[in-house]
Amino acid sequence: MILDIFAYGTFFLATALTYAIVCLGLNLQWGQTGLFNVGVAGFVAIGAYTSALLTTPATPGRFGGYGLPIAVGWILAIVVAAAASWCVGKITLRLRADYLAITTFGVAVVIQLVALNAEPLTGGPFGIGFIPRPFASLAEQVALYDVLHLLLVAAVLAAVYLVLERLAGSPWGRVLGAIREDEEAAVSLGKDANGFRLQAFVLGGAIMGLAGAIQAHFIGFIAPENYLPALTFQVWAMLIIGGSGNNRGAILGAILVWGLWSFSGAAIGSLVPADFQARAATLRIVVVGLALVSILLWRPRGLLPE
Amino acid sequence: MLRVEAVTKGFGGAPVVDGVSFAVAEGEIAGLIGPNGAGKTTMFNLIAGSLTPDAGQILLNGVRIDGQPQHARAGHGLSRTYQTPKPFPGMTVIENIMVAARGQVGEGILPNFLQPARVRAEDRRTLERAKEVAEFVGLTRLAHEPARVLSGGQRKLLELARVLMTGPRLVLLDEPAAGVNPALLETIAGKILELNGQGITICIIEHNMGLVARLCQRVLVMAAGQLIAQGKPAHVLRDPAVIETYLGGVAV
Repeated sequence: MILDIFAYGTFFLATALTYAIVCLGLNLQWGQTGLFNVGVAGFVAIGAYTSALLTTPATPGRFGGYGLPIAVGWILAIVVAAAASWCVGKITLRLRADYLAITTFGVAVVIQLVALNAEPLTGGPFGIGFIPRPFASLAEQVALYDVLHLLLVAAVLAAVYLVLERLAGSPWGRVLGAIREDEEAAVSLGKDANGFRLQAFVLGGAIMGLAGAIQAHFIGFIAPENYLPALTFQVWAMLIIGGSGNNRGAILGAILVWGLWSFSGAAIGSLVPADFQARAATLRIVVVGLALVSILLWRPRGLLPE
Repeated sequence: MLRVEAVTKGFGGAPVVDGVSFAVAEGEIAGLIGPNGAGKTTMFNLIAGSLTPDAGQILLNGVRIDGQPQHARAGHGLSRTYQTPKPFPGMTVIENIMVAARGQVGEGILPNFLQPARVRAEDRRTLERAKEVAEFVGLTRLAHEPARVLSGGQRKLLELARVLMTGPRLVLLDEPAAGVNPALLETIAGKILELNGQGITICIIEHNMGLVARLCQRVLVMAAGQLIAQGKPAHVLRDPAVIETYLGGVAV
């Protein structure tokens, strides 16, 4: 029993901390730079698919399957997600707030649909399996394996956090703040607002891609339905509840919202009759939505404000 | 230093700036006056770069700048303030000033990790200079307050401080005296003269004729998008055509 709780705890935390990495990426884009990216799921998907295609064993009828080391997969997930962010950003970052939201949302939907339909590239609706897991040689010792995995995710999260904290306190972060608060004034002081925005967008997208790759290798299997707009909604809820503009808030929000999501899922599983469970599962979105609205009413700047 | 040649700008209807030409010499304080709607702020926006002229050209030290993006013009030593000041409200006064420093190595992502010591040392120097600039405009006491708490007049001083931090050679001041109490007005006027004494060329849009007469060696008068007079303040402000546009109103 205790072992079960421990196993669930490590699994839960590892997932929550992976979300926290995505949330840090969004915090850089929205919290610090004011970029309304509603296509989070798309960049997470790009990272996940890139690493999965590169590291899985060869699969007949599907692209990739090069069996590369996991580390290479993760690094290229960062690179490809950054490149995709650059392309998207280059085209869309001149758009303001709501228009940027619409276009990034569209991009994410396109990416998800490609994942779903481009079967020779992505495996289509069946997704990609046999994604190698780190520490696979220890898979027999379940508890040890879970702890090691949690530590690995925590280490990546810590590294991302430290990088972003240093940048937030740097002259670079100061310029981002100025652009967010009054772009025209920042430009009049000689700051290339579009250039800085693109940098923040690319770095944030790269972080999301890394998180996607980590998640893919943790579960060992990915499918297009992992990357629906609901994922974007979750990450936004995490950031708003935790405290937009605050990296610690982003992490706290990720853990809390993922907790709420998992707990409400478990509650629905045990309270709702089996016939209605599939439909009742959508209540989880309602629960997170309620939490989001409550926070906006009582602590509009989040639990840990900027 | 600054040459504006036959510049025209319209927003669909009658041109707001219509074939205006003038020059500002190095080291002078030039005033740009005229009734509301004359096109003065549009002229500033054209020079500073938030607008592009439909025709004509703008040269700074002989270099054509009218096609350059706005952020690049600060590199030529061109800086401006706004009629309604634009502080970064959530940032402290000292951060507002520090962010304006030009060419900071730490504004690149990588140097923050590859050369952290260099970035830190540079930022310490930026902070020292920002403190000096804050002292100069008299905002030292408020240095660590968020800019949103500043009064209208203090915001104008903060904008002046930011502009100074860019190391400008030509500063465009858009109504530095508007909405400022008389005591602070004296301070602002004093600072403008002091800056000019340091060799910074200044171009001012202002409605306070007393201030214009006191600060400016030369006045340019715009009305309905055209330059209608220019010369010494004492002379221009007595020009019947100028008095007509200000007091008699301009045909709309």
